[in-house]
Amino acid sequence: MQLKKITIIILAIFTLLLPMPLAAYDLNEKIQLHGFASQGYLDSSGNNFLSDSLGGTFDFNEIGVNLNVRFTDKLRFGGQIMSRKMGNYGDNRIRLDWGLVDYRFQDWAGVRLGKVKIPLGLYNTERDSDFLRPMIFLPQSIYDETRRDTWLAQWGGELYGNVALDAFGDFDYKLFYGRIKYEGDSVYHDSTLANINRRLADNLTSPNPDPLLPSHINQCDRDNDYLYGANLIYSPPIENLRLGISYVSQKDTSYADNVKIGEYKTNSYFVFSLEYAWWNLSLSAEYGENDRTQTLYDVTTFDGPNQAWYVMLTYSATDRLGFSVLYDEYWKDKYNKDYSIHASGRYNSTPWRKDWGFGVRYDINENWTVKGEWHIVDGSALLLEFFNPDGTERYWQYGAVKASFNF
Amino acid sequence: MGKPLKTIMLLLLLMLYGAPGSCLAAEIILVVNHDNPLTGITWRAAERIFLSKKTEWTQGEHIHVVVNNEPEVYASFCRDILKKTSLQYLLYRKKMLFNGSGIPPRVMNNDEEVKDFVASAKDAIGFIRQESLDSRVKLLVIR
Repeated sequence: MQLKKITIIILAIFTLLLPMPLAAYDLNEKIQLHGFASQGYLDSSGNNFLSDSLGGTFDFNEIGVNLNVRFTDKLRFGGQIMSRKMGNYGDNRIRLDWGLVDYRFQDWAGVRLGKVKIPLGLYNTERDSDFLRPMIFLPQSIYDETRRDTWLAQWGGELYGNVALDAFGDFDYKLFYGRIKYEGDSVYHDSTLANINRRLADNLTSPNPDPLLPSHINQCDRDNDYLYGANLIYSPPIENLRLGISYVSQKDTSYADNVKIGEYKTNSYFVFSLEYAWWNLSLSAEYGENDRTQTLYDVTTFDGPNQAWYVMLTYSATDRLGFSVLYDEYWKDKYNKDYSIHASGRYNSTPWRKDWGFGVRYDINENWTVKGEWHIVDGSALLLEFFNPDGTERYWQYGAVKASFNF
Repeated sequence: MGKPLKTIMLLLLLMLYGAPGSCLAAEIILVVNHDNPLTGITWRAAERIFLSKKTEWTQGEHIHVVVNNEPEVYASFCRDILKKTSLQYLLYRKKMLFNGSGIPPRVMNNDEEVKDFVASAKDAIGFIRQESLDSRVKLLVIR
């Protein structure tokens, strides 16, 4: 069954490629058609990561096509459709990744309306395109893959621009406001449903159960009330140095079997970013805190900031071959790092995740990229109980190889 | 945080030790159309133009950027003007396409194609080898 799926994917990729030259369709700078496809293999030991990965899985791919039409020098329309599969999720259903109308009044002021990528940190806007980043997985502390379906793009708009400061460099800014549409078939949705039912089961077995709570729910929904934020990237007059700050705030209302049961609010989520390239060395580092409050059935289940940071070094041995090393650290609660308090004996038995990652990337040509990496992890925070119903192990590892094509 | 940072610093030093030196490369110049009144721009302005941050000339016209994809010329331009590796600039341009932020500059195969394009487009800018400069295009000095 798995081989059949892989064959279908490979055939789809080659069907896509056959009629095309190894370059994009650029028609007089007015219309551009581009795309990508990737196929990976994910394996892990100790815990399931993002899928039933303990036995290894080829259910790990992305395919996308984008079209840009420039109506005038200032007005552009663009959109990208894509499909992906990660374990049992995605199932290669086609969805709109982003789609927008872009009007740039001046270099320092433009507006984009439609489904627009959320500019969180340095890399959130390019998460779908594997070939754009050094490693297969972005640092999970900031770019949590289990939230990828929800924190990628928003329906609304953004103001953007680049402001030149002459001798002091320049900065890019984005101010955005919109709403997220939560998909009913995402990992996030299903894990939320599982978590709510676990709480309801805990209520039944507690010494003083709340009689007003149901014993079980069949379905849950989450509506986003609003999302807004800002992103500022400053390029000082030091070659290849970028400094950034991102801020996001949002509020969701949760429903179970069509009855409101709670709220999830991101009070403030900020990320500080640094990227520096010096010839064949690149350094990326980010630090973030997400201060969030969650209530379920009139009980505050979480209130406070997490803490996330990483440092990633990439060494380009040649123009085509690069090596990366990553240290990535996450704490579920910035102000409470006591192991014993979190050691429930079930899900999330550690409140941290410390990940050492080692990766290699080889660009065969401008269109083909192959990558491989291995991660050694201490801690089970961010792992979903959904994939690990029998509990998690503190020390575990995961690795992946992936081939990507883009045109 | 101490132990991981020490390890990262050690790896950084090892990488620096192994970094290759610079190599010989083509001398690169910027060229514009003869109708363009500019005779020179700052290095910072040139960088912003090719990174699609600056899209208009000072006189208000939209800048039509063309990237010369001849390997030696392209590599020298990336290194000397943009201070990037070839792959870094390629990925920068692809990011614009795939995250919805814009359409990257047009790409041409060699000096001749760049000169033909710049000669025919009043608001164009490109880069070529210094020895390829001829009467079709005008040198734009980087100050």
